[in-house]
Amino acid sequence: MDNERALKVELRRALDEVLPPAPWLEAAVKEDLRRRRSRGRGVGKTTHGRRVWPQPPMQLVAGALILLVAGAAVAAVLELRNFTPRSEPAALDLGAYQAMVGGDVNRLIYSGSGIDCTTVQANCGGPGRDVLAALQRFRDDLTRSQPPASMAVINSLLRRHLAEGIADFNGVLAAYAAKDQVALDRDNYLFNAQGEWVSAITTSISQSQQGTVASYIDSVRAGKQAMATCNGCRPLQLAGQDCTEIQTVRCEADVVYAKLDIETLESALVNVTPPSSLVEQDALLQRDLAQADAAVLALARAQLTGDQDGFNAARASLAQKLPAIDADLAGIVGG
Amino acid sequence: MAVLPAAMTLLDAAKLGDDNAFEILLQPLLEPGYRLAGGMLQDHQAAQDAVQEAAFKAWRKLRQLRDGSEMRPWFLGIVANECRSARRSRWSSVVKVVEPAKAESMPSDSVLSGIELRNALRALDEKKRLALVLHWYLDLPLDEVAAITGSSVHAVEGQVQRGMHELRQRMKESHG
Repeated sequence: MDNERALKVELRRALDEVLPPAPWLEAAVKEDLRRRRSRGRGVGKTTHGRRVWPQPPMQLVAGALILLVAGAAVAAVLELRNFTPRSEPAALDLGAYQAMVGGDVNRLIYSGSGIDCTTVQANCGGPGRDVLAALQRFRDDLTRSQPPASMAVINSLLRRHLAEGIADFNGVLAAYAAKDQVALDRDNYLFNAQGEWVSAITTSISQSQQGTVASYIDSVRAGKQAMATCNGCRPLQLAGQDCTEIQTVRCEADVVYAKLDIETLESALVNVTPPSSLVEQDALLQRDLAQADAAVLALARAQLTGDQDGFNAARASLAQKLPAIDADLAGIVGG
Repeated sequence: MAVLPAAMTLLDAAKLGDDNAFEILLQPLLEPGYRLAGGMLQDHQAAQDAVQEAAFKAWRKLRQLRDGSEMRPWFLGIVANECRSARRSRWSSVVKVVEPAKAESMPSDSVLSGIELRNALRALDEKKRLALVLHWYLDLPLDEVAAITGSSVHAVEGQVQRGMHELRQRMKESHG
């Protein structure tokens, strides 16, 4: 018990060290609330009895380009490894594929330098087109290249997320041009949701190594654990539990958890590529995960727009995929 | 956990669109929200951002707060959601893990221990970290932690115990 108390005291001290008192916080939050309320009033007002934009984005982002900033970490890792970025499509080995992805991430970061798409008054238009071009180049490189077999599924998933990101960023640019702050917030949110995924997966790609049977199974086991305790997946799997109202805090938490846990497993599979004896099982698991990934993406979009039917359809699709993923995992790590 | 009638009146007013009432209700929740976000993200700027986003979201969703529900666990649940979303995109906090200490002199044992403990906490899975931060750092009772995380009290108790055990293990390992 004394040990527990001592550890608790130590933990508090350790966190206090990085968390200075914030006497300005109350004023900052109130000011931020007033600013956003003043432009938020009128959101969701009806035309002909229908809400144009039923609910605000789940998360109004601080900036439109978290993807680009997040990518800096990936680029740093790749630079440390002294890769020479290139983007010629060919049958790539793992190192060349990592270099190509690193080069595209670098290009994306460079194109986003100095850009701000947070508000309709910011500097988004001209530089935004450079970002769009870099995103398209990234997607095109992935389309033209022939990735190593272990990256084939994640390559097509990355392409899909980039395609969605391009659509969302087009929305950002259109909203900025139309001076529509509400649409700008929504599309920034959607764009950043793609950015988070792209950032996590490209980081895993940059760190990816050929695994042995033992290291691959260890990595999959860690991902399996995340899925087994997935606070979001399980309630979503059972119709009638949580999410009877889709825009509640609890339901949002379920979707965010499901997204993170699926992403964790996807990253684990990318981090350590399978040995030849497990390639087929790995590909099967990745394909099932890709479908679950699409379902979670659809869940988040439906939740954002208050589309109950779309949410239910995506939920059913996820519920169908989760047992298949469990079976795939059991086939690889047992039990 | 009874709700004071006065708070209910304020809550009703806030639900009806009284922004001042909302701010009065929010004010005592900002500090625990900041500490929760700080414990989860270990970055005071990111913590402030998370609390700001949570405050705005709480304002937009206030009508979803059911009558008889307490505002603190509801608001801290929103902050926890913000932290989950923010965690993956905060590359700066990742960079800090590997950033060498910039102290001009040798860091003291207590500074090293603080760094190790924060790293150990950051390495815990999100659910155990959340339970530990809420129960140990914010001193919230287990039933309120359960309300915030949507788990049972029993499950939270288990997460705290396992989290503590893992912290100890990681600290032992880092001391060789």
